[in-house]
Amino acid sequence: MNKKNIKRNILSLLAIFTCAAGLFAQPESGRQWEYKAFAGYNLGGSSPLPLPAEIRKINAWSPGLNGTLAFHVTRWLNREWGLTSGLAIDVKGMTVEAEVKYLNTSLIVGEGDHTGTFSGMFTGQNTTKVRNGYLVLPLLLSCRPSDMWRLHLGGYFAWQRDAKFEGSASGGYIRNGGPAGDRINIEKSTFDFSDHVRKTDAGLMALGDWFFTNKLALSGQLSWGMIPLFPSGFNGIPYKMYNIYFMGGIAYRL
Amino acid sequence: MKIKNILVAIATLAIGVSCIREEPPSPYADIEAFALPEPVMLSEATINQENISVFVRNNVDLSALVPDIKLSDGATIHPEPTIPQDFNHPVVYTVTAADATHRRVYTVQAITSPVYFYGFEHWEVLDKSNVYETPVEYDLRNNRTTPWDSSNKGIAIYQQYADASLYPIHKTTHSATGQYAAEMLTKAGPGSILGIVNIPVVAGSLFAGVLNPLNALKNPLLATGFGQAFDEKPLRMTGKYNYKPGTGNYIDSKGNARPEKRDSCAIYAVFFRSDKSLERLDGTNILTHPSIVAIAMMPIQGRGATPGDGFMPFDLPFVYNENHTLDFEKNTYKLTIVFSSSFMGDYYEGTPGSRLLIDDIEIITEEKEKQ
Repeated sequence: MNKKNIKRNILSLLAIFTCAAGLFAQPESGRQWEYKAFAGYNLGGSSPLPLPAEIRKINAWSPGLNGTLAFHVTRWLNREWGLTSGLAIDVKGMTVEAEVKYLNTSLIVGEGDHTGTFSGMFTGQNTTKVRNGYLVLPLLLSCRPSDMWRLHLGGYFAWQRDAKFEGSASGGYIRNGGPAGDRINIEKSTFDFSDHVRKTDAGLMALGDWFFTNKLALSGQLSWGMIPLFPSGFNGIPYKMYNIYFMGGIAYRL
Repeated sequence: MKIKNILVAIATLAIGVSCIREEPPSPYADIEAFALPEPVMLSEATINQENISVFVRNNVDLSALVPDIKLSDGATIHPEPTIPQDFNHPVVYTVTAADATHRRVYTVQAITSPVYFYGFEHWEVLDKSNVYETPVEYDLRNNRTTPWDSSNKGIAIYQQYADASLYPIHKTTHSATGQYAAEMLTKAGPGSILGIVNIPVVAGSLFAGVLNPLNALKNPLLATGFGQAFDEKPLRMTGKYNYKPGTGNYIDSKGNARPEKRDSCAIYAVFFRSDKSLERLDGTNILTHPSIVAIAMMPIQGRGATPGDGFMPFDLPFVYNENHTLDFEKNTYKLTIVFSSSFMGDYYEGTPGSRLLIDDIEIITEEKEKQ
């Protein structure tokens, strides 16, 4: 172990101890409750992880105009540690255009008694537009290493209120029923999986606030969904997709 | 140390997961093209899913032929196509895709004489991923041939019924002779398919040829490939039928009810000259193409309801276009036979419930009449 590493490790340990020591200390008589409102811009994707081999190339990705409006309450247990919860209105979305190969898909087509399944293996261009609105409840462990910094780590639960998941398949072909099926050219076809988007989501959340004034902070938040976007019986997309979004925004301490 | 390792791990993961992975090997195991040596073939091979039929000339030696086979990229075939095969009997080729998992087993049948009689006694599942059946016929040498295709193949693209009898074309024991006849039904369609086509009505259509859905979404009329090689002069088409138009409203291609219209059936045969530019007729030109030599058409008065439940015989003459001179040495000719429970079924028009029964179709040729 070289000197540099030792130094870094000592610093890290000190930081952890500083916080941890506070946990066992008496709560400070100062401000126990802290309220914060923030707004931010969401960047990310509702994406499979890792990218499956069927996705050959991402031609374009656009985050769209999607954001978060949130209100958080922190109960400080002592000078260093606290618990945070609150509510957020969160719109997670993106538009992605990809080239796919041998992608198994199954679409419900037709109306009423005459609905059937159009299934097969698609090769071509795929454009997907996602815009899902959630009501988010975070549960976070909070730490204030200094007056300027607030760090929060934990998880969230989310309820989907309004889903849009639609797109098109174009410039390619589908092998009907699977790789041995007849080839059918697809110039442009549309799909809409909005009704299939799962009603709930939950995952990990990490949030940092840097107060550059007493009231205002720059905030960054990573939310990483752990529940696939579509239920297991859904066959429109052969792989699991997760909501992975980073929010950048401004927070205001009330 | 640990924290650093964790950070490195997270960074690696983040980079790793966002990378495009190696391209998967192809799962395709297709014979894309098949040909026997030029002097042997009468017309190009017909590939209908895993059945390949090749019309060959009479009196040629088929016992040791080396075919020309084009496979999907990276696929392998067994036996090797360079090994001569005896095409007097069906020859089976197994193709394995580049992914080494997917296989297709093709049966090649050389056909030495056209089929003159269609009894609809033998029905098979030709499309392995579906349950619908298609009639197969046996020629004079008792070789199995696959002359028929049907709108079942198109319907199965988006609708998978549990039983073959639920598809618009199926066998029925209500036959004129033998065990089975062909039954065709017009049904209400699924409506919009993926925002591409609107299908208000699907008719049961059975025809000699092959349905290739390649461009069906762009123009469904292009999917029906009409025609099988035929090297004699057809004079008449005879057969037996029963037709009952549906009792509800006639639905036009836009899905509108047209109470003033009555549904009618289609029964006709078209004999045409084929060449490299016209392998087959399709829905856009089946009755109008300049290469059409003769048409045998059920007249309008015969396309409505037939009396009772019994079969009604018909005898339709081929009416020849005077502009064509038949030359079987120089040209290749093809014949298609078309039946549909709704005459305008290829335009997704008709009355749901219309039902056509067909049995004992015979093509009477000049040579046969001489005998």
